[in-house]
Amino acid sequence: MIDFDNVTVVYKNNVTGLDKVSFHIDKGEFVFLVGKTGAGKSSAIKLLTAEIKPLSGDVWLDGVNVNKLKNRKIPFHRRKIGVVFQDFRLLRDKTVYENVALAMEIVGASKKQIRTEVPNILRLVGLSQKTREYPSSLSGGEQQRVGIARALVNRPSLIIADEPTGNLDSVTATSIMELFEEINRQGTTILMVTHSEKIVNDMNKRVIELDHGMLIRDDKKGVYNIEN
Amino acid sequence: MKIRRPFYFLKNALIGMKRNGEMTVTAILTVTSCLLLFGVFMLLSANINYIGEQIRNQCQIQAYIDFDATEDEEMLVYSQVRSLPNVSECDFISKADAMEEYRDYLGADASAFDGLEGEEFLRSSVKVNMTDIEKAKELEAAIKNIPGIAKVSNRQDVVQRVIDVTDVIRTGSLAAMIILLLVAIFIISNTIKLSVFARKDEIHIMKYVGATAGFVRRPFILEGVMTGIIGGVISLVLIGFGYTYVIGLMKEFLDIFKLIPFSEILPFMVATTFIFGVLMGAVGSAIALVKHLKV
Repeated sequence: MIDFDNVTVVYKNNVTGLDKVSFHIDKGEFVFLVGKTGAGKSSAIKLLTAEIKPLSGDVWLDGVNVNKLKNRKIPFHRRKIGVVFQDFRLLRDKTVYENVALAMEIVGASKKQIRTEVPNILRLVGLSQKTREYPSSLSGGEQQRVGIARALVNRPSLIIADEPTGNLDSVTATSIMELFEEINRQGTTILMVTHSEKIVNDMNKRVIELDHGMLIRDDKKGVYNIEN
Repeated sequence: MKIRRPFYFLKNALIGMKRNGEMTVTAILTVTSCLLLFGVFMLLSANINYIGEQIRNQCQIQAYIDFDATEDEEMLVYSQVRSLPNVSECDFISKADAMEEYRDYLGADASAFDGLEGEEFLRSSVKVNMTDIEKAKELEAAIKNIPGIAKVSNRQDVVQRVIDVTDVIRTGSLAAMIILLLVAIFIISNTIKLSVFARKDEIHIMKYVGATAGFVRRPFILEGVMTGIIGGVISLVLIGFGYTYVIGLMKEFLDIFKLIPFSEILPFMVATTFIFGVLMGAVGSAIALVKHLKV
């Protein structure tokens, strides 16, 4: 599914993002990517979404060498990935339904497909009753559920979640993690960046830890274990 | 899907225009002003060509024949002039014809010539129209060489001066039109830049969901093009009223030269204003997008 093969990222200001990092993630896995600020987590995500290119090494997703992709192929590559953000990034002037439908409109889905698929996804994330509401009238947890529905609606093979519970209280965070677990159970690979010790320890999933751009830990059933 | 996409882009372009309300109005007004002036210069340029053509057609060489020449000699001179190169039309004006022309010219004052005949003091002449006005001097010299020619009058110097002036006006108009085009492109580009900033979050999300560069850019291009077209339509209406008014004035006060009738120039104006409106919008948007929208 995902392969990082000796990947090094160096930014223009000579800051090293990743330093000879290699790891492999299988289809259907649930992996936490942890590390202090500046450890290289964002670099890893940006490599997968083809926002940056490595100085050396290769990044593979579903058998495609991501850093060899031509610019015009990048949007089609991104359609294989759903991204969930810490700050939800919903459009304020669109309803819940429209926020999710936008993702389908962009990839060229038909009106009929949108009418069938969006309610299904909203049902999955528990927002069937909120389709006509605007983000401003939703709680943080509900907004994140919309974000997850939007990431999921095009049925990507990989979900990248960047601190998805960072802005939520612990009870809401737990319910969001249950949703991710459910999505993972249905076969979607999940790569989650988090600073939440509780979540990582509760979930007992694979943990990859980065520090100063280097991979320092890859535990099959890991714990958080980072001094902040 | 393919059918509803244009509506999707149109809807987003309209949302963008509405969201940037004031700036959109400013851009439309600027484009209108630019295209209005653009149209004025275009009409000026076209009419200068039109009037220039009228002046060229009025440019003739008149060759006067010796006063003492007999009728046969006059006919010989006439046939020699007619056979010269660059002569398109050639009219023989007898002394009696010349007298008639004078009388016509003087109108009510013609009575001063009552009792006089042309033969007594006027010369016969040959009026020559040219194929190529630029070669008037050569033709004039050739006519002068014909035996029996007394004098040649040529208003080519005056015509040349008029032509030179019209050339200057035409070049000036062209320069002004280019400047106006650049101003409009700059303003549209700034409007679109604001539109891009206003939709920054949406663009970011679109990028992550896998929107192609074209999909993200199209509403903005459309927004610029619509600004250009709306400005173009308003300017055309204003030009239409203005030009019709000027034609009326010219007819009333300055009936020497005719202006191109509006109905004749309208298709050209519509096409040019439309093309330039779309061009301004598209180029303005494209500049803004290249600078401010990395997809």
